[in-house]
Amino acid sequence: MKKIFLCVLFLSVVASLSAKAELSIDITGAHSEPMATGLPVFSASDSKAKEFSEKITQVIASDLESSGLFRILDSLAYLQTFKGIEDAPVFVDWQAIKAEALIQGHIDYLNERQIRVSVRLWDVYAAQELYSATLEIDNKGWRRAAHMIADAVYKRITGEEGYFDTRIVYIAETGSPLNRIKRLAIMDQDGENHQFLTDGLNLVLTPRFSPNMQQITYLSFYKDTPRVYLFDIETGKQQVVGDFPGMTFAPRFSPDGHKLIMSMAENGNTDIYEMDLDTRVVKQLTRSAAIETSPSYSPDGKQIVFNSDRSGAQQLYVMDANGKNVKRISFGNGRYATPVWSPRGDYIAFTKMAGGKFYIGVMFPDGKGERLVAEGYLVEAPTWSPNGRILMYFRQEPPDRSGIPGATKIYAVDITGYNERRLITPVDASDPAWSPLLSNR
Amino acid sequence: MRLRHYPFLFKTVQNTFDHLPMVMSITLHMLVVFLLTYDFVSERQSEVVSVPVFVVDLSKVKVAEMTNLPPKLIKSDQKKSNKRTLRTSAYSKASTTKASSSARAGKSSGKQGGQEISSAVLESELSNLLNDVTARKKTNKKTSSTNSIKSGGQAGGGTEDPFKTLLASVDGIKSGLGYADMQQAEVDPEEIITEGVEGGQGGSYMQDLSVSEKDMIGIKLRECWNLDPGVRGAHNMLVEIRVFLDQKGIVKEVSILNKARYKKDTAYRSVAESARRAVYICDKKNEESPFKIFPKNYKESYDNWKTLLLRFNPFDGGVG
Repeated sequence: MKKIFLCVLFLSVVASLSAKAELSIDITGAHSEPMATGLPVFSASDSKAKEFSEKITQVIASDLESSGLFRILDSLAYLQTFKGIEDAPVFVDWQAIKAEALIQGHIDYLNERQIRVSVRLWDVYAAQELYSATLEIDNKGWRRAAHMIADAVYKRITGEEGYFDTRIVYIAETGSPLNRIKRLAIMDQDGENHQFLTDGLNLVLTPRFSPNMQQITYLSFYKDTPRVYLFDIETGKQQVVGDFPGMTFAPRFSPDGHKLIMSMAENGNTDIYEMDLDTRVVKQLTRSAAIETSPSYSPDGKQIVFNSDRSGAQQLYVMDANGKNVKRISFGNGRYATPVWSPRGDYIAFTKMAGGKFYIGVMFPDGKGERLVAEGYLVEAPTWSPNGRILMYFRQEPPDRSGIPGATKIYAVDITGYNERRLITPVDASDPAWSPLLSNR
Repeated sequence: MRLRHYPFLFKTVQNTFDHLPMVMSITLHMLVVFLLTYDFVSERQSEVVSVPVFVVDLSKVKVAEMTNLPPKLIKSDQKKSNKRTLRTSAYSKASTTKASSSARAGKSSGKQGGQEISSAVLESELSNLLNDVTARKKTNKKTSSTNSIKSGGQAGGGTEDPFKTLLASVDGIKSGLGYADMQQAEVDPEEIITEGVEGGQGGSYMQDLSVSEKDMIGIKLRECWNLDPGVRGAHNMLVEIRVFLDQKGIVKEVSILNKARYKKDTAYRSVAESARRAVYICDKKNEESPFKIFPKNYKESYDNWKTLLLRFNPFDGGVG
């Protein structure tokens, strides 16, 4: 007994002496600047592959820089050139120009139809490969391949899904202010592959993508009556949704794509309705004398955010998907409208009108943490990138001295409020809607 | 025998079944109490050693004047010419003279004041102790009840007290851990620059690294840390990283600690990798590296800074 006691005591003394506390240091806070990235032109197997290598490298660079999170270093500063994907980086050379990440790539020309793109992403300071992939693609799809590579790099560095392989649908506006022609148009998120979807004979508004990317729902005025329509991108066909007695507007798909939620105005009262697209059964979700509109599902489909003036002023409310448990979430000064739930569920974006100005802002789903990320004479209609990092909206300039309304343009801004940039469109543009990631289709 | 003919017994049995959990609980408790009581009695009958009471002589313990200042600022101004027995902290930064160094080297088991923690030393001390205790058990089953360390001279030779052996072993281990200077040595006080608490044991290197030095390291690492502020959940994220340094203060290895979350949570992975990158980026700043302070100011206590635990918290200090 005594022996055991002594041993235990001795071991505990030894442990207490040898288990010295490790020196710990707290680092609180960081700085934020675009990540310095080396992106040499992808090496190529032959002259035909070289045609693609420069174009693909350029698109990847453009995508990453547009996010505001990457800064592609000047190629003149590069100390190393790669001849193939197997060439190991000389990390010291890349550290010398302060590159934090390095994207190395190679193109093989397989045949008249196909190329192979190989890519490797390196952490320059940790001297560690972070990602590698090989894509065999149709020659015509080189631009999409570049977007997909940019998405993969973005995801590996930030931990979020990318958004470069996506499309934007918006309202293209032409003509004089008195005779405005509004058409549905679609393009890649970088403005390429632009095309008009409707002819402009009927006014169209508020387009929204379905989660499967095959359909767009929007509001169109047919015989001066606003109705919700569905447009099939593949076939170009459009159909009116349901046979409602009143005006229907502000449509939006449910996250699973099987339901459509919208507002209907009848006898001066506007409420929110849900329609099952498979059975065409319609269900009324709100019953109030107030105007309730702009519904948007939470990403899990269990809740809906909408705006209502039931309190006397236009404010944001959240309710369960069955219309119960309605709860007001916005309490700030001014009016709140067009709420949209973030795809990652952490924020609700909205348009705010206060003090004669418009703002785009975000708040947590419980209404806390309101933060304004853009302001202007008229900024409206926020839409989320599929990864919930970027907000896109349109901005209209003030009218000139003769009273002619200013041009409308589409802008995108990071939810941090940094990196606002304009999206180039061939004509004036409003009401943008961001598609889901094409590669997730 | 039929129970219904004995109503009292029948009622007792019924009550017992009605309160079965309580009865079981009481029975088990009684069993435990009985076994413990029996065990104590049997132990009392056999040879029992009472735990000795320590009496530590504090008369020679002296507290330095300014223990909360950085080590470099603390200078001993004692100018006593007479030699005396003096206890010094092992953490005094080897600013002693050659004489004291040689004296220390002679006493300590380690090569450089016993800074190297050798597992072999620990093992040998453990086996020594076990041997001593075994021998003690064989030769003399009746232990001395002398518990005072001061009066430890009572026990000597092969019949020394196990606790003395234990304490002696602990002293030996202290030597191995760099506590060699705590052993009594005849040194000239003028030749000694003491820091921190003299004569007492304990205290750690971390007390030597001043708050301002720690802050400086944290600020330099913060400057190297480039973080995307929009990362999901970054506002309540804490990344712990262990850094292994060589004796020149150069980063040998960086290890992200929460491996499970690192593999599962891509947002955490992003923040953790940016923190790891910050360590490497700072390290590449050569003389401006925050880790250079260690070989510069604390060269002798490499064991204490060869690994560091860095705790990166993105939002306490904001991202700007």
